[in-house]
Amino acid sequence: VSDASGEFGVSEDAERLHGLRPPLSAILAAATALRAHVEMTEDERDKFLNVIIRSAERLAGMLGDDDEPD
Amino acid sequence: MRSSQGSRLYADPIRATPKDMNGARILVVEDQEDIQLAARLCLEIAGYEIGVASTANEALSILDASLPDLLLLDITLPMVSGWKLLERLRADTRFAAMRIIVLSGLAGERSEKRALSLGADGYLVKPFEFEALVATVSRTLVGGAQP
Repeated sequence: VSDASGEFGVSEDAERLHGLRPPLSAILAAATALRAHVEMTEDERDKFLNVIIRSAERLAGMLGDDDEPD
Repeated sequence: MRSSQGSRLYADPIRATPKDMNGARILVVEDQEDIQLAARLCLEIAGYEIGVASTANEALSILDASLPDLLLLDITLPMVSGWKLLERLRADTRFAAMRIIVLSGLAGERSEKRALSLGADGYLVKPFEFEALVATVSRTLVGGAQP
């Protein structure tokens, strides 16, 4: 397995963890933007919240694909 | 009024008072929709004018039409990687003044060195916080090198 950097040897688990990164990144960026108390409109605040919710739902879906029991 | 989706070529109006560089335009090249949207929203509320592309080829089409001040470039793009796009842009004198920040999930020093050696002006690791994104962009736009 290789990533776009051309680096080989990435394990299946590492690749799976790598797949969690995009929604996690989006959640962190959006949540910290809300925390930063930057001036924004209600519409903009809603957009950030939607990013957080949608990304969290995506993460939940990814984790739900796991065959392991709770 | 800012559209929710917007044109991919800076159709959104510039916020009245950008905090550092007046009228700075940024093209976000990121294939992951969640990150692309989050980065766009973060940079918009920081006062920048944002365009977005999901592939290297889409970015090149936009760059042919309009030159941004800064490119926020994901490395793991489909088909043509961010590395290849970075090399191509830095080999083209038309884009010499455009600053480029590489956005990567690779936190290793080797990857950052590779980006800088290929001509990137900055390097930001995913996941990133709002403050880190805005600080890196601001620092890079005003000409400062990465610390």
